[in-house]
Amino acid sequence: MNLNATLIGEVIAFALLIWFCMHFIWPPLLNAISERQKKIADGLEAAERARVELKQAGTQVADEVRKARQQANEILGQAQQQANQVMEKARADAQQEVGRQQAVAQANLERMTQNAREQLRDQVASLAVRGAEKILQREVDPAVHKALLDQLVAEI
Amino acid sequence: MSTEAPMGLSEYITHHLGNLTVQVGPGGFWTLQVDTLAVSLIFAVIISLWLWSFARRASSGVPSRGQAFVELVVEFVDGQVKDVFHGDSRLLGPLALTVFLWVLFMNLMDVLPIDAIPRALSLFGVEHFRAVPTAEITTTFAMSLTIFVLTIFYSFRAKGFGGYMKEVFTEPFGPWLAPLNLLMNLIEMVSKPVSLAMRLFGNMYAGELVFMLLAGMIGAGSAVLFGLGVVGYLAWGIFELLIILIQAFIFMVLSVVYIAMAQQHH
Amino acid sequence: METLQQLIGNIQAFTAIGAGLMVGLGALGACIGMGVMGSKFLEAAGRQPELMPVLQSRMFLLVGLIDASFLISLAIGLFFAFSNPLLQAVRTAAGG
Repeated sequence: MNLNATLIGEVIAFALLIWFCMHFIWPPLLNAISERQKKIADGLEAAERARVELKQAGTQVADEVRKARQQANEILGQAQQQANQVMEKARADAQQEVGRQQAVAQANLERMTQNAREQLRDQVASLAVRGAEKILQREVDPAVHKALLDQLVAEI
Repeated sequence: MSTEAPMGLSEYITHHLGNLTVQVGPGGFWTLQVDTLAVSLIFAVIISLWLWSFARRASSGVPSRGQAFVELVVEFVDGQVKDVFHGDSRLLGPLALTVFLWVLFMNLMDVLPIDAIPRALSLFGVEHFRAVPTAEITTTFAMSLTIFVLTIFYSFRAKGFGGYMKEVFTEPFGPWLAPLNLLMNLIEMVSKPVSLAMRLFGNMYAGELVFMLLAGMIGAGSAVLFGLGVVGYLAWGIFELLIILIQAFIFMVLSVVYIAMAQQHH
Repeated sequence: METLQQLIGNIQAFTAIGAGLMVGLGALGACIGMGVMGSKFLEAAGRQPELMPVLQSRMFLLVGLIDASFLISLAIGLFFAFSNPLLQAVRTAAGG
């Protein structure tokens, strides 16, 4: 343990080692470290941003879905209403038709009763005339009393 | 080395405290401790290649496991430096990383079995070998002296020659006691690197010595001492791991603190 | 020759006492310091647990600093106990 020329050798070795470390080891390693730190920070930031965006997209999607559902409901309601309307209209049409047919039938019936009544009246008139003829065969001339008879027929 | 059977504990330890030296010039100073230099240089190369292999293809993508580990170490050191020094510094970070890793690796040689490397090398005829470079005062002083020089350099750069001289002569007691101020500042200036070096050296040296003692107990030939030695070796090894980490950490933090202090005004 | 042995014995005895004092007193001081710091750390951690990580790293720094002075004295003490440079000086003087 005495100081000797080894000291000089060690000083040179130490200085060289420091120089080497200063020029070839420290800068690239530190650069790499700081660069990676920056990268990691950027990555974290991007992830955060993506997370926010994802959240926004999620709310947007939910919004869209809600809107679509609402629209569908609306359309469904409209369709229902339309169907109801159509059915109403059909029913009304049918009722109208039925009424019209009934009216026609009624009219026919009335016309036929009228006819029947006319015929009946005619027959009654002719019957009455014939009875009256039979009664008044001699003294009533049909040609003379035709106007009178017609008036009678009309009154029946 | 083959005649280690009759060797006593004291001789064993003295033998282990010997360095592998080469005389490169006249006088006691011009000896090179080849073991210290070799181990520290090997670690310097290993650390450089290890870090460089990751730094060269460092990317900001997904890191491989090795790169993640290296980045963990770098970020740890960077955090410590930023705790102490608020400002832009191109030197402090690499310096702290170098100091931390180099000291840590050299300290880690301490937990290798104390006999392993010397015994292996003795097969090749190497008589003495001390495997822990930081248990040599030369290594720790070399580092603390480098840091000392950097401290002075940064003081000059931050305050200018005049400003620094003014601070040295007037700082604690005002301009009327200039010699006393100079003395105080000199003591402060010298005590920093000395304490820094001595702290690491003392820790590692004591750790090594205790390991040697315990190894001597294991080899003493008595069953009780053998058991005690093994248990003690294990316990001290675990404690030493903690010390190794803490001392490397402290050396790094204090170097950074000294240089950071030099750059700011009192 | 006898005086040399006496001298060596003297040096060894004093070295042993010195080394023992160094290790023992160093351990004493380090233990007290560590105890004070540990108790304060636990108190502080109990009062403000959110400061735990900061305090813990500072505490380990101080553990190392406190421990260091003890270990330095331990190292020097053991160094003197096992390879006494003073003894070496006497031996070389006697041998020379």
